[in-house]
Amino acid sequence: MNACRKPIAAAMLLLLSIVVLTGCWNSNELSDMAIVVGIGVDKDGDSGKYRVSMQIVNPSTVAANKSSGGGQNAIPNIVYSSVDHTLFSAFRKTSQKAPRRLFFAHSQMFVIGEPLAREGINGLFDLFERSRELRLTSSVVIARGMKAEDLLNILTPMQTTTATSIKDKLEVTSEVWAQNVDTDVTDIIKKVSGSGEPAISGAKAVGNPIAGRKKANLEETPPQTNIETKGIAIFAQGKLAAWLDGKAARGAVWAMNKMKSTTVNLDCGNEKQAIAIEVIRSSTRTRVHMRNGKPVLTMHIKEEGNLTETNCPLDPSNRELIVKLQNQLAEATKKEVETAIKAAQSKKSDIFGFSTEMERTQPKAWKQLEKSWPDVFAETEVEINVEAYIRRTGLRIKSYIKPEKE
Amino acid sequence: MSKSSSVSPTQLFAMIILFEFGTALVLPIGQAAGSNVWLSILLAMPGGMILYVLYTYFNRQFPALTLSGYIRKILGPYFGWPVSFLYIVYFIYISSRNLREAGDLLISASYDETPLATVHAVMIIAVIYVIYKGVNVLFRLGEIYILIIISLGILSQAAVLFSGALELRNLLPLMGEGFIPTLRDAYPNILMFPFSELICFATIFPHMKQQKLIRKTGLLAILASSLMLSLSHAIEIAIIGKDIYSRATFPLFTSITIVEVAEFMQRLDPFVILTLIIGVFFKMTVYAYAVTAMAADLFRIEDRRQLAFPIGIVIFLISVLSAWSFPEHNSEGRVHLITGSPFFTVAVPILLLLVHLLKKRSTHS
Repeated sequence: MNACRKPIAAAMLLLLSIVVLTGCWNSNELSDMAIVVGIGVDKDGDSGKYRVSMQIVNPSTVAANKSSGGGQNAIPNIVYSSVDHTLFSAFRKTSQKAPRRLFFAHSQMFVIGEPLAREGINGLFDLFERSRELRLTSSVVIARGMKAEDLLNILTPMQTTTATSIKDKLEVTSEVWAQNVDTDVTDIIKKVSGSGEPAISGAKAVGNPIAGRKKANLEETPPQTNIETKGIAIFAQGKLAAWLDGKAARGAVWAMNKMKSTTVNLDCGNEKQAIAIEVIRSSTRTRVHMRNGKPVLTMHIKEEGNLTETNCPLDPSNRELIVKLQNQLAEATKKEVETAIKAAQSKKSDIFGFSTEMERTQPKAWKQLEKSWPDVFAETEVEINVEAYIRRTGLRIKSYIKPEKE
Repeated sequence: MSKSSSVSPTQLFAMIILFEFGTALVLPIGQAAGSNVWLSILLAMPGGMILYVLYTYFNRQFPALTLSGYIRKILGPYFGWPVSFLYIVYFIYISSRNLREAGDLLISASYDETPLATVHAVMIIAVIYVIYKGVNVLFRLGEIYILIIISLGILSQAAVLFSGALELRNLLPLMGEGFIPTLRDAYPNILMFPFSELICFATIFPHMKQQKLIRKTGLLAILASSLMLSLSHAIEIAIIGKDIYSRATFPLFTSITIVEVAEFMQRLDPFVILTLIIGVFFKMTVYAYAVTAMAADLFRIEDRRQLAFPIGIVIFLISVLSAWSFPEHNSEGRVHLITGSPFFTVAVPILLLLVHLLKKRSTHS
């Protein structure tokens, strides 16, 4: 009896395991999915709804690119937009337009239209936290002076999709030019959930955005319409308050301790901006102290750079000259940071994380200041201290340029 | 029970660590301390050790008896039986809570369209099988999986280090609200979860090969697991900050999704999912084992293995039916932390101790 029962039981178990071993209850085939690489949000007129745009890779062009090395016939990416009260329902509504199931795990760019940003962005990120598909590490930009949808619709050369094109520009320029920051969703949530304000880079269209939608945009150099990262948006109470540009933006990057590398031009005697210094390393330490019941911030910046170019006769073998250049560099840095802090203070926008620093190191004083922080921040004294070093001069020490004979 | 079952000290050490990791590694533990959870864990550790010494004290007094055995011996059959029975109910409930946590977290994190019951069924089948196989198999498994879980931990923490996502200043302020909230979080919250849960090892102790080493091994395991828990929670907070940590249902998962090493090592979430599954599997199995051991003892069932299936099914049903939603499950948990847990893991054992000491004195004099 037992002897014949056992094999049957074993067979039953094996059969049962088939049910489990297939795994993937909710499996999706790659060919049934549309890979979303970028998401844009705008406000939809005055309806109070969001207009959500999803940029989808056109799979045939990606594949064609590889085999034939360019010369694609179809456009590389398509943008679908839907209007709804919440981002998620707009995502799902798009199924009425897109022929495949949208897949968000590869989305790495989140674009917010400037009109929406001016009304407030704080409510936009809840879905990112809850969702298992959307990435908390998606980069965020503001479509400067335009709608996110229009920005995503521009076709860009070199990179297959507009979203990756923006993302890559943002990454590289943040690292080498440092007038933008690569802010991701987590950074924003951390700021917004405390008393700080986010700082988000802008991306804008240069040229006619409508013309940029045509494939012709990919067949011309320079492209008729291009996308450029430009400026850093600062926020107050979650609303876009102002744009920092150029040196003010770079000062903000310095103050936020996000500086990796940049270039500073220094005067060479009477010649303005004739020496290029490449900053290769920089770190900023912000500390807060209480003085007479008021917070005082001290910011210590330590930077290292190389002399990379000079348009004037210069002999850096002279130690004093290097010291002088170092002082000039420190002075230039300090000025930029001051500009940034003043601009942020005038908008009561604590993008530098000073509130977080207060909360961490002066918890008792923070309790009292927390409620009125934007006003306190605007009045707070900031002491900036820069330590600059110029370490090397490249493959030459002395320049071949000779002093002009008088 | 049978003479063939024997657990070595190494196996006990491994199992206690796995058990403590269980859900405590992946869930946010202790809410009030904010950025100081890791300190609270260390503060709760001595309390956990004292409780463990208490549990092992009974084992030294009654080496051959399981939890229900000495409860009846101390309180007498009339009081002892119902109290032991309540323990069975309690352990079934906790085991089902663990299963529910695993199920809900797995579904939130990756299997979003799979029904809860399916996820639970797959897990409970494994649990039933292991319980059926007995305590030896369970502990040998533990010996293997401790290595796996530690390697996963080392790999992910190395990734965290190299990714630069670690921001140690997130751990400030150290006791910004003063010492009291940090302590309040340790006692009772963290003492109850996960430390006091070790009471179900009282059903394992009779199977130990070297009875003398139970206390020492256990204390070492508590020390090791608290240090690792504390480190891991400190890392989580250093990555995501105390605000996101306190709101996350699954902070370990959220932290690891942020970690990116040089763009190619991203999405290490499977590591965390594995950690969750392994930890919960051992924790709920130890609980379920405790239930079968005590039920066999109470109802005088010769072959404990017969109980594996019915008890597994009860745990499965309770895990699905105990709460309508994950938030409800969590709020039940908060109630349980200040009611059931202190009652069964602190109040009753202390009562047992007092009664036992009184009895001892009266027999001596």
